[in-house]
Amino acid sequence: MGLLKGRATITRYMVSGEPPPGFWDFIDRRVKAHAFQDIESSTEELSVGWCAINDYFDTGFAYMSYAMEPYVLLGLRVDQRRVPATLLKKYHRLEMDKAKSYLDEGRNLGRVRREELKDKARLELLARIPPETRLYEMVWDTARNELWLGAATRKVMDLFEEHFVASFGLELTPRLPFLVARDLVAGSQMAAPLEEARPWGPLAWEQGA
Amino acid sequence: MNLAELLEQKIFLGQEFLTWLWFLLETDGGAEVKDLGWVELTLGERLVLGPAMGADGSRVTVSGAEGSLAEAREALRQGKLVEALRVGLEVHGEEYALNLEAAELTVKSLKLPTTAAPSEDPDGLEGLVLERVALLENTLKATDGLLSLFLAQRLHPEDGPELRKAMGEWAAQEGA
Repeated sequence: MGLLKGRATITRYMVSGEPPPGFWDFIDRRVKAHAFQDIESSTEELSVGWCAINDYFDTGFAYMSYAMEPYVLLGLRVDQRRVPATLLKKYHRLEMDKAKSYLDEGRNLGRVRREELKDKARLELLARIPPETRLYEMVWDTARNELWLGAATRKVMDLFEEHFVASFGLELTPRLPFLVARDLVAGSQMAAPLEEARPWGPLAWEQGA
Repeated sequence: MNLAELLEQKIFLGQEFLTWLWFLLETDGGAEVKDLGWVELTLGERLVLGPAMGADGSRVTVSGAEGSLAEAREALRQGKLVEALRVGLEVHGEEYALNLEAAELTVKSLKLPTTAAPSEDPDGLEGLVLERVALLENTLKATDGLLSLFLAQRLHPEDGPELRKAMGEWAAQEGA
């Protein structure tokens, strides 16, 4: 699923807000400032940033490779480490068994100590588990202020919206049916009836009225 | 009324639009769409019906096979509306297929006419990307164009009630 390969999924947004003069310089600065940062050699759980739309290893954007006027084409790379719950339970238990062996017989670990050991187990696992990489494609038509994201799950949309707003300081509004309809009829005689429209409702079918 | 409340109130538009698409493809087979010309419509292999806004009831999900379509017609007769469907579009002799969902009109699982795969060669990439973007634009032009046609009839003081009557008669037909 994406925009450029295979079967496509498109979440549509309108972009609003006023970018500063020198639009393409502004875009170049912001894309580079919010490019993807590698977390391969760390214990970070999540990293989100821009990369080339066709290569998630390309975060250099030579010759503004993302710019195909009027389009801005970028990939949103999301790297995430996930510690499976069963694995965490196992290593937490091992840590607790080790800690208990230093205690006098019959004594138990306190709640705070158990939580500390859970964090320790989690951190050690994070250092051993490589992050998973996902790429979501974005096509931004800067002439029409319309943007397409090649994903439709709420979680990805949230990550994308947050990163886009942090990068460019512009607002994103999802193109929901009523908003699309409002755009389509703007300035016509249908604008007022649209605002006043009420559902036909199910009975209309049976009555044919 | 804030925007969220307004969107909640108007959510029926998506359901009515998708139900109209089904009506349109069974009655006229397609429509003349701005910038694209005649767009031929075909029903795909997925149809989901649910209760109209404000009504109670369960969802009915069917595939496009004849037997299942009868189940969808029955749900329609009982007052359910289309919540999601897969529809085929033929534009300028090229075939597209997509899933549409009423709540957000998000285009999902869109199958486009074939283009070459994106290349890692920057010179080759631009042409392929722009070709693919143009196909995506065609799809959205078609869905926006069809929505415009629906709204023009739905919101018209005389055409709106006429359309509702025609769709009511169509929905009441036995296994049409």
